[in-house]
Amino acid sequence: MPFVQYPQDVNPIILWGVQNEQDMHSYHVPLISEFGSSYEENLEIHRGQETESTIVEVNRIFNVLRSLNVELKRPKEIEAYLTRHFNLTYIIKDICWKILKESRFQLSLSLELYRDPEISDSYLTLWISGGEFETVSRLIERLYDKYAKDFQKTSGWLLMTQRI
Amino acid sequence: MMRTIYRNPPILEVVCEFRLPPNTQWDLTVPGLIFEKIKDKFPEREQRNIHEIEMKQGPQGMHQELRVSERVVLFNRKRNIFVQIGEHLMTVNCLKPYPGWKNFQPNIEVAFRALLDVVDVHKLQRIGLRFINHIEIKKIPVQLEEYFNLRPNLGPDLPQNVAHFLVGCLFLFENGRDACRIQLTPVPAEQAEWSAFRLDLDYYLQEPGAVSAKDALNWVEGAHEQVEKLFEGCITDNLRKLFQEDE
Repeated sequence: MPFVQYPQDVNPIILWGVQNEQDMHSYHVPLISEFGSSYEENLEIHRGQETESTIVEVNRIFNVLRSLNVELKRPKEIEAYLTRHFNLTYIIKDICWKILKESRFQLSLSLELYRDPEISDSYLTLWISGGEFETVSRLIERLYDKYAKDFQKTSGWLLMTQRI
Repeated sequence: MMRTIYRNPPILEVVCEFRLPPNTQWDLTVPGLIFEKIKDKFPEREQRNIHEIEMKQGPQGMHQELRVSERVVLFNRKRNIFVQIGEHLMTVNCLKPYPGWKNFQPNIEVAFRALLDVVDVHKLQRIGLRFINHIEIKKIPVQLEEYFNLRPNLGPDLPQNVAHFLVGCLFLFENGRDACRIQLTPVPAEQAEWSAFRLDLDYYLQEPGAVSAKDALNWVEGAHEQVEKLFEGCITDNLRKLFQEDE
């Protein structure tokens, strides 16, 4: 049986599929995460067993972001935006994970929906705090390059910027 | 049955899902053909990537496969109602603001009839009708019994100050052909001094193939009536006042 590796900051709350003591080391599937967070939720282990909901999927990814200590400001606004621009959800999750992994969790992240007060426009802003200005700028450029094709296929907007 | 209509419904999302049997003939042209039939109502077309894990039982035991599948998503002009088409799957989703069943149901009908025009469907593998509600109450703490008739029951020897809970029930209907999973749980509130809860009702056909394609829309209508009753059964008059019941 395959062993599934999880990020260290995620604590499996409930183990299932464990048939005996030996299996414990080889088959860990964390389930349920309303109480905490579970990496597996993001991977939609329940597909086909429940009626698919965009809100639920966005919230699964929110749980992953929260487990990475990404601050979600006014989450209902972000939720409403992402349900209409769903592909952006996975991109944001990947980008947050890459930023944190690359900085060895030295940078902190905050996501919010920006609304232009003068025109009817809104987009998500990912604020990056900490680290050296030049290093973070280069990281942002690399990420825009890496995800350029994905952004092209996505209807929503994401701005990555540094909080100085 | 008298239908209750609220001026301020707590509905965040409604989803109607049709899953076809895996042996149904399907090819890559299906989403495009459906789009042609419903583009007046759903003119905006997008592609959506879905990350899936599939658990499979093989000769060497269970194993998981991670895959990314593609969906075609057809939005209406306001982008609050959309049709998703994936392999052997169609969903019709409605986001806030919910226009009411009378206005949402025709979207389901149009999409499903287009599916039947394009694909030869005899029976449905699964049908689901799900209502996800977000309920906000300006109070901390909330006495659950004042607002919910579905709530945890704590015996006298347990602490009564609940910090979090997840309460759920599975009810069976039509001699077990259908089921409804209801879950209630607190969620973070956006404003100080407020409490928020998510009430999720997922009514589905749990006996694959028990409903034919020609009866599917009747099934959806019946499911909606059951979900309405169940929703009303979960809440008290205090919540009805918050949702502003229309006279």
